[in-house]
Amino acid sequence: MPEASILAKLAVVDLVGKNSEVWHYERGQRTPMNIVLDAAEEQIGPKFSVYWVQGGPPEVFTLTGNVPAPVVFSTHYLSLSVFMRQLFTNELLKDHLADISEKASFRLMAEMALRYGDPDFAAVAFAKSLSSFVIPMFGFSDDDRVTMLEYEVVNEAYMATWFYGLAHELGHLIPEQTQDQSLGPLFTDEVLLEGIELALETLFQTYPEAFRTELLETAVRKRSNSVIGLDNLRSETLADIFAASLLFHSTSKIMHDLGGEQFNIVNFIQEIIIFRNIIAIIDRCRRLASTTRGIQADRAKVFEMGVHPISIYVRAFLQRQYYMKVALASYEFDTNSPDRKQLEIAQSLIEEVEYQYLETINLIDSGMASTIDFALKQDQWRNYALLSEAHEANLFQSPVHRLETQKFCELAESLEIESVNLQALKRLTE
Amino acid sequence: MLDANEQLSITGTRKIAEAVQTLIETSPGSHSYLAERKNLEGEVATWIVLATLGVQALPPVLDLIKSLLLANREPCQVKKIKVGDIEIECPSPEDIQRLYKIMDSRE
Repeated sequence: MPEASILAKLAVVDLVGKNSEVWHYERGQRTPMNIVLDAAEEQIGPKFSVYWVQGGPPEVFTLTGNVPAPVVFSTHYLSLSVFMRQLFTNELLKDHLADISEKASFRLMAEMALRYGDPDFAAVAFAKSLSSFVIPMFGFSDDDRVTMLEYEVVNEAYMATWFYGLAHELGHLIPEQTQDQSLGPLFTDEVLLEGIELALETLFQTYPEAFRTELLETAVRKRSNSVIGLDNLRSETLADIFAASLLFHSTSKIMHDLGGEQFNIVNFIQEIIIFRNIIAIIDRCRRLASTTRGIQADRAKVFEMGVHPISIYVRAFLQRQYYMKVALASYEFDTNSPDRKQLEIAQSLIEEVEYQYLETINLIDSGMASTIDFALKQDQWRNYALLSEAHEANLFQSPVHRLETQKFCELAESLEIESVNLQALKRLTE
Repeated sequence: MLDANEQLSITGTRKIAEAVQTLIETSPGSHSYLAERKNLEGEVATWIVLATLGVQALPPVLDLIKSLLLANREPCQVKKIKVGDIEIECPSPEDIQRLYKIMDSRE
């Protein structure tokens, strides 16, 4: 009989598909990843195996239900995270952030559309990602970006970029019994519904009433079959909190052991905020790209895309209220049970950090808004003469653009995807 | 003819994945792996069943999938079915029938 581990690896290989290398990550050496995994094991037991996936789709996921549960670490996801992180941290991009965000989200959607959406849209989105100025990191390979990250100092940014996704997935393996006894009861249906109501009142007032009603009904009715379903929301929130907790302890420990920079909890909170936003952006691009498939955008997919920002808001709010605030107060005031005043100070500090990123996030969102609008209007992009437009604008004259376009066409070929627009795109580089 | 040691994978709803696995487990020489997939982004979980099938195990599995799809016409309950080198996304009952014929016509 095939061993369960063989079937588990076959399942991972099946899910990540072509153009991927998959291997079981060995736990022998004392690497930062193994320090994180050891810390996770202390909390949830030896219940997982990490599979390292090179290439393939940018997806980080867990397969639950078996022991050990496969947890997939994707270097392509890591590479995209490094790329998107530039939007939040690179001061040189600040003056043109909305424009660059638009181009970056078109580039991300182009790849996502090759994998999950319409190949003609993929070509269109790629051409729209080209601009008259060169954007740093666009043309870099996964290897380039991961190598650059490896040369960074091991600090809060390094740890969050490498391991937030992995830590979140490990959080899906918290035993149910533990969930019930510790964090589970905190996230009753009432608490989650209050979070949704708060999100609607705070950030999403412009949503039509009918949509709000459908959203609240969906949360209760489709408990695990919608991104806003209460069971789904609870499970993800627990995983978010586990991730923050695991990284908090691992990062402070590694930085202490290395003896270099001192762990700074405010930096740590910044990185969690940044990474939550990176996850949301990558996911939004993937969802948008997938709506381009078919003659008309699937209503269910569009609905799920519409409610996804609300689920992200609720998760972030609960992570802050139930973990970050307490962790910050405990750390700053050196106590296991911070009092009300200390918690208020911690909350103010977190809000201050969030406020610092508000302008950046708004600029990135405004850049993405035009890509969202474009992707949802199929009649617009299906008839868009952008390839000739891009050609006329001499965008393909730049050696950098030609190289990037060639790479994109090679990716399409490797996925065995063809379309009229892809062929036209390829011709422009010849 | 439908033969032994075919690799089958199905991603879709819990109901279909569990039903398929239950059937496969009763088939001599077949082995299966059932898991729930959870993503970083909080997307709705999907289920995967991966199996190596023994002699003559494939026809009843395809029959079961077809009957489950006929019983509930909600779209895309099976997100993907892959048998050997053939892969179909969101198959209809008719697609499953076609798949059956293709597999049956093979040596």
